[in-house]
Amino acid sequence: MSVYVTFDEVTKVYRTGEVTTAALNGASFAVDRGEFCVVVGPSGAGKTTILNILGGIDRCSSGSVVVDGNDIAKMNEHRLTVYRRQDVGFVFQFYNLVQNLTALENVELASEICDNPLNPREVLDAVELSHRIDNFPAQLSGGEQQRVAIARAMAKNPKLMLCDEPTGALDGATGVQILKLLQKMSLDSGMTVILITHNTAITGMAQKVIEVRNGGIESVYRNADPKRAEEVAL
Amino acid sequence: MIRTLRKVRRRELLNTPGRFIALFLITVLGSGFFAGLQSAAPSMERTADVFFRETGLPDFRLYCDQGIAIEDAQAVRALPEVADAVPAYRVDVRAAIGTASSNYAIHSLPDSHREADRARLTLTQGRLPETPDECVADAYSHIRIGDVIAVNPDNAEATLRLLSERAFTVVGLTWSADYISIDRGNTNIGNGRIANFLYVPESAFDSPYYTELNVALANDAQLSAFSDAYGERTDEASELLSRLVQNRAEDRYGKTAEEIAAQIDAGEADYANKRSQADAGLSAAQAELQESEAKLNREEERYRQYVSEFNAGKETAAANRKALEDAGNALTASGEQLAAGRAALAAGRNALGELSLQRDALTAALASATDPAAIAALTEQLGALNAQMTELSVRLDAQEGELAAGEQAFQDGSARYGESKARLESAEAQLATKESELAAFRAELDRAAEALTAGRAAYEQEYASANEALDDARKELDEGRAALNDLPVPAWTVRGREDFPGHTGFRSDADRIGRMSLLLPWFLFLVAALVCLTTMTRMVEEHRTRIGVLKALGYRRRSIMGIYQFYAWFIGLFGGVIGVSLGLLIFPRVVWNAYATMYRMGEFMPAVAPVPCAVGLLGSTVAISLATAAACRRALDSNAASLMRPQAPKPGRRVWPERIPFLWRRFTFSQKVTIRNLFRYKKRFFMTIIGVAGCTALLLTGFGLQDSVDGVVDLQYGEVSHARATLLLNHASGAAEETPLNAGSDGYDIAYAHLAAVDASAGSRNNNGLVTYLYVPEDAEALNGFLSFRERRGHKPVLFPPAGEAPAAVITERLANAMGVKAGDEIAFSPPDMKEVSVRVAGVTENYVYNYIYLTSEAYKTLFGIAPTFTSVALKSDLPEADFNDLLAELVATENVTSALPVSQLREIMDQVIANMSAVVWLIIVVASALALVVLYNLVNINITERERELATLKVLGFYRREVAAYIFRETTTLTIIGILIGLVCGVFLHNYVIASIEVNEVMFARLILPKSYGFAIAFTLGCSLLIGLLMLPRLKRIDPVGSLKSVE
Ligand SMILES: Nc1ncnc2c1ncn2[C@@H]1O[C@H](COP(=O)(O)OP(=O)(O)OP(=O)(O)O)[C@@H](O)[C@H]1O
Ligand SMILES: [Mg+2]
Repeated sequence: MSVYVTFDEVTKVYRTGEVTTAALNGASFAVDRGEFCVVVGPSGAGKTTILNILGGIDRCSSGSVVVDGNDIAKMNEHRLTVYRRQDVGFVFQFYNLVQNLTALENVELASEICDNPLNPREVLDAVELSHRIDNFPAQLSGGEQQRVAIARAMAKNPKLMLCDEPTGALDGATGVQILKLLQKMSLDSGMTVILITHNTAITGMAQKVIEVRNGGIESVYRNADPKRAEEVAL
Repeated sequence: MIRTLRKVRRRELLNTPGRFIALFLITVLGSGFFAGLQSAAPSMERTADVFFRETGLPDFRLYCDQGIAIEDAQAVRALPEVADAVPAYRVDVRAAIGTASSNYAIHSLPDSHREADRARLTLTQGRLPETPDECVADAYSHIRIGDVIAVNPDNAEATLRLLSERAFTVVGLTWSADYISIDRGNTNIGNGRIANFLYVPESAFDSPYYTELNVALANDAQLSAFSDAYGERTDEASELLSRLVQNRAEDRYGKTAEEIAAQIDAGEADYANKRSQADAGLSAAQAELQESEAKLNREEERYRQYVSEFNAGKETAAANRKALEDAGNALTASGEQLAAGRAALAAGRNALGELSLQRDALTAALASATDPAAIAALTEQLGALNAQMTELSVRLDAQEGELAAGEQAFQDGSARYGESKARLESAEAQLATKESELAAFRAELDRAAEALTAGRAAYEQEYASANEALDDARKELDEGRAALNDLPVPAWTVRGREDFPGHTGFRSDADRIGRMSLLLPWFLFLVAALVCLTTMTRMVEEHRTRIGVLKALGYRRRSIMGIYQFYAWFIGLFGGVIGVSLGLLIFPRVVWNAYATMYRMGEFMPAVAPVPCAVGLLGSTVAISLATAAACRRALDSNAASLMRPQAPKPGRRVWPERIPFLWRRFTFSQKVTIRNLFRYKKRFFMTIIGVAGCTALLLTGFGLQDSVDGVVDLQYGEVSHARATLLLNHASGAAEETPLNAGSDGYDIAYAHLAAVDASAGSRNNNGLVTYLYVPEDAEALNGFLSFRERRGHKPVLFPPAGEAPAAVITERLANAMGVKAGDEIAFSPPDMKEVSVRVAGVTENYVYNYIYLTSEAYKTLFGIAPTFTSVALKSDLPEADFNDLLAELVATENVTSALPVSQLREIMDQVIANMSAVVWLIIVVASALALVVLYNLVNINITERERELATLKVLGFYRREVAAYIFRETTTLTIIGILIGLVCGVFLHNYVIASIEVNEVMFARLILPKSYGFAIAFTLGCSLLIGLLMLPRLKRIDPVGSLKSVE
């Protein structure tokens, strides 16, 4: 399997006035193409920071982040945007749907801008929301909203899917449903999925688990036989 | 705890400069515009009031048709309410400088009031007059120092009698407080308008009666002339003065009536006296005449007797004469008989002698005879002879005896004849003397008769003349009595300042500005309040969590509210003070300057109108404070826990356009988003639309104002009036009369007309101080080439009624509007010194400069019963400017032409007005743009901060920067466009309203907005939108998806 993402000695320092916080100090790891990867670690470890840098919405202070052979740390703003647009799907803990758009429109919002999108209706069908496509986010439950968010990310048909605690705000059953969806995507379309969680139970379904602690990579290991999402008990 | 709050407060001001600036600017704009514009009218009034006070403008001017005596002035002055009452002269005359004559108002400068005069007059050149033949003249004129202004001799007798001088040398030029505007007022001479004023020493007037009385009320309280208190006080004073002058009028009437009555009584007595005298004298004369007549008759009788006696004598004498003559004839005949007898006797004797000789011869022969036969024959012969001789002798002797007796008788007869002749002759002589005596008598009688006739004639004449004199005296007395019966009570007129020239105009101008400044700022105020409300709501929403925390920590409601109220009050007061100060500094002066060409009232005196300033200052503060309270209340009412939870984003909703599927389907995806968003945030929607619409409306008004003012000149002198100059003539002229204006030949064309200033009214509405002229073309047909009679809208021609129909007038639009009339309605008007007439309106014609009532000359004749005098000449020409000016100079030099007013000169004045309007226009444009900028900035600012999360999401999704910008600005642009469209509609109305508000008296501004102005208004608004967009781009760029999406706050 070819390496798709390479983090090499990445540091991230936040500077607020006199205080400097090092969110990352020399994190290095690699993820293969099509891999379902879970990032775990305690709160404040730097998980979100890693994902943001990987997703091209934040920049590292030093080090290199190579995605599909391109060092996104060295990209200018525009190329980074193109990278986000074509290659990355992002799912947030708090859904971040556009409140004023229906479920379908939220998906269309993403599919409209990329080169080879999936059919929004089909994607919504895939997340089992075809009956709610004309509902506004406020009319949907948390899980449904998160599925719309995933559908939105999926519709772009991205090479890299980044999810920041997608199940954090959901009950167990709904969370499993979401995880199932993600795993299915990864398996079906060979999409690289990187998922953050502080719920170690999820690590079981990962092909690769990256443990983060204090801004560094504590350990990276592969699961020889990843569990199916349904088997995960949240 | 308090310290922490203070820190929070301070950070609030500093950390969000965008919000702070938006609120601050809108406060400055709102309060500044409000306080500034509303102070404009009070500033105008204060300037005027200070000027009135400094120049000692009287509060009233009193007029009396029988003149004002010095005692009247004293009586008025004696009123406790009156500070001073100064009598003065004023007379309106036709006068000329060289050949150019026009109407002048000549005022007296009372010598005892030199100080006051100095205050009243502002000399621009030269000095005040010192001798009666000097004057100071109107500075707003072409008069120069050294000019001699000669009063025309054709002025009314009474007018000329008032003046002791006939010509005045100009020694100075001046402005006068009596004339606050360039309008010099109406008069009842010439064309009805005063062209210029003159001031001459009082000694130039020659009359014991003054023509006006200037009354100044005591004004210890320093009331403003524009205050209600002043109005009340002058109303009271006006009544008081009216009562006083009424009394004086009655007094004067009483006195005059008494005088006249006394005169009549004296006359009556005199008459009776004369009458009896005349009667006595006449009857004596008549008796005498009768006596002489009787005497004459007696004499006549006597004469007749004498004549008959004389005639009898004369007859006798004639008979005697006849007898005498007969006797004389008989005598002569007998004398002749005698003579014949004697001759016969003598012849007998001679025959005897011869016989004797024969006898001798016979004797001798006998003697000698020897022959007896012969002797016998001889003897026989001798014997025969002797016998013959004897017989003859006897006969002769007898004859002789007879003769002697005849002679005796003849001598007797002769003697008798002589006697009778002598007697006759003496009788005849007597008769002759008697005849001459008779002739003398006759002559005497004739003389007496003549004398009698003469006497009678003299008597007749004397009688007639005496009667006539008496009749005259009678008539005079009767007339006197009649005059006494309808002796006019002196008519006084009390005129307040509103009747002084220019004052009503100024008042209405100030009112108009006041009215305009009522509407515009409220509008801005509304937008400002909306801006504040949306901004503060947003601010509090942003602070939910913090409010929740503070609440949870146990801070009291009031303390938390205090943070925001502090913010609100700080901005409100700070912005208010700055705004009000700037507003006061800028607006009143700009407005004043716009009117400065029209009025002449000393230094500008800005007034701080307390109410607008307080409202401007506190209103904005209170508005923000209320908006803050409203925004906070909801947050504070929720409990701390729910506050600290992320706020549920405003839910999306379906909007009504979605329910029209065929329409909705046509929108692109992003358009749908935009439409939904527009409907989602209603407050912002209205704030923006009202703000942008306001901006566009203001801009359109501003640019349109320029068009309207600019347009006036082009429309009036391009499309409505085609004349290039107007000439005024000394005396009436017309095509029929001989005239030096040989039209057509020298490259110009003329049309004669009658022109007079009039007062017009319709029902209860009058022409509202508008300068109005009656214009009567000599030939309405020919005038068409000089004036276009058409309606403004649609350019439908306006026609005079055909000849023969009832007279009807064409009137100009502004006049029609002022009086609220349209075609078919009735208006009434009265030219100077003429009765008021009523006439139907035939049509309303487009016109911009001045106001006219047009009548055909036939209609004029029908209405007034006299023919109009054509003293105004419209002149049309295609000559180049220089040649045309030469032509005018040439024409003015001709005797009958008093003045020539080229249109170019009017255009110059208009351009001045326009230049001043431009300041107002730019003020409006600046305010409007500032409004648009602030509103749009605020909208975009709120949009961005509120939707940061959404934008961050878009960024994460990989939207390009321009796509993100478009996502936000499409909304702004849509709102802007909707706002612009609404604004354009409002702008048309606002423009009309503002135009009507600021229109000056002489000119109707065009109700016209050029397409380019629509373009400018749109471009400016879009420009503001674009500018804000460009300013906000960095803000979009700065949105950090990481920060924005991390959690909810
Ligand atoms: N904008 C920022 N400014 C300063 N420090 C920051 C900022 N963002 C993150 N940090 C710090 O960086 C460190 C890593 O943060 P990060 O959000 O990556 O943690 P995390 O592993 O995602 O934690 P959690 O599981 O609680 O989400 C933390 O210690 C945090 O305090
Ligand atoms: Mg995290």
